Amino acid sequence: MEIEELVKRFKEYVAEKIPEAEAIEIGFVNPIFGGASRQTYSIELRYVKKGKPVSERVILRREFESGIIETTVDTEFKAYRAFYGTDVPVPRVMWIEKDSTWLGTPFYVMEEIVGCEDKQMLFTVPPFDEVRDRVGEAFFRIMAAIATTNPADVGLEETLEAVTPEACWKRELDYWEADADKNELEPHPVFRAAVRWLRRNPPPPAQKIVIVHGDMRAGNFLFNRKGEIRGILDWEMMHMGDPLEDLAWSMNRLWSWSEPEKAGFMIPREKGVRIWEEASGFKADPDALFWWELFSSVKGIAIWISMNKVYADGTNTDPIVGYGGIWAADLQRRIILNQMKEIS
Amino acid sequence: MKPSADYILQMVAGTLMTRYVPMMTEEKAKAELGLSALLIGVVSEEMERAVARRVEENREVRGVFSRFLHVVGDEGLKARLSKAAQGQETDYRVSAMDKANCELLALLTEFHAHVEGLEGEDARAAEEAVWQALENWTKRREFASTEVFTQMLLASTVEKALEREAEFA
Repeated sequence: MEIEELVKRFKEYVAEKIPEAEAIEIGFVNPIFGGASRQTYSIELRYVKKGKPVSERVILRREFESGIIETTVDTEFKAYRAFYGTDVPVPRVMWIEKDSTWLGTPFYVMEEIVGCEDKQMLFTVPPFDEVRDRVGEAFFRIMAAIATTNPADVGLEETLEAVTPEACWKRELDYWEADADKNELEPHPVFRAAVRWLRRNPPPPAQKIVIVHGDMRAGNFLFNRKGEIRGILDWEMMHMGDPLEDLAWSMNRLWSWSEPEKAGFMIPREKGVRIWEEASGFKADPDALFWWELFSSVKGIAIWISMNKVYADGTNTDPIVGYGGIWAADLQRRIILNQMKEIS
Repeated sequence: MKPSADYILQMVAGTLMTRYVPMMTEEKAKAELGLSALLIGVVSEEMERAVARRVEENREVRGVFSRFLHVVGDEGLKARLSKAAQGQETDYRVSAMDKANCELLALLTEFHAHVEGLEGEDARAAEEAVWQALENWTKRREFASTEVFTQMLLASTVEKALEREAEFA
């Protein structure tokens, strides 16, 4: 959808959502570059309410006609709503719209958290490197807070499908293997060898079934120059599962390619694990964690395969999808090969 | 064709990156043009090695099948491996070699799974040979532009972050 059309339709939508608003104007619409799962826009909303001018910066997240990952905005919206006001910082959500007639696909709107950054590579250079330790420590504590949140306490018990401690690893592995089966454009023999190893060597049952963010990593949160994390983002893959799943995903070396011993370019992996263990009360058994780290590579490759597929079949030809899929697949292949060399 | 196709693509990518990307003012358009230039760079890299990597890889995989055919217990699989091992390139178009390459890699995956379940020194030697082939498989698909992109991304991210910081100061 062209920006002009989006602005027109979004103004109409706001008018319906805030009937008392007058003189609704859109100050700016800036597409936020980089998202492969949603179209995201930063929007300045201006209107007059009860005679007073109001100016708000909001984020609009719209589903792609063809997404890389098969998720709906509903999961994200519910996650933000659930965690708002808890120890897990998230932006305040405003509206969700499942009716595609407004903007072509379902979308939701939330407040924009300003004055923050999200790219983890900033931790490698001044002046942002000054806060990397503080952000890293906060990140692992927040991850622990997610894992120790009772779904019933935040209204998520009906949203997330139940799974047993014994079966959670298999459910995730089955899902991502099937995803790769569906989208693979060419054979991926190392990926297949990793899947076989994971099945032959299952992890121990989860210590407890917890809320798993599903994409908990550097790059998916907003931090400021004080070293504070202001918002955990990108909840579209949230589900119930093993607490080690998020921990392992956060340490996928893809997120810190040139500094592999630092989790997300922030703090040493061992330190991150220690903070998470202390804050959550869970244990990160090294063998079980390795299983989930190898799984993270499998899941990563499945996602990059999907990116390559949607680009190749023409359903999403954004250059970020085209190049991103090639770039990430290259690095993830090297990572998974090294992991397999450790055990074969 | 002279200049060669890969050279032309490199020049086009370089011109886009150095001349036109800096002229773009809208952030998304600038990023998309830069990524399009990188995609052209990737295609240039792939074009130069497309035939070589398929010829080398097909030869290597057929070699693994030939050397370790005796390890295979399953007669059906053995027959397919034997047939594949005897194959050779007759059509040097990339599309034709790619088709053969995909078939060989699918068979290599099957062979790998089979020998993983076997006991004995020969099976372990076969597994080792497969892993060597997979290491080469990974290396043949590496792109030099991956490192370039990482550096570019860092530079533009820092620039934008500092701009935003000034805006909110």
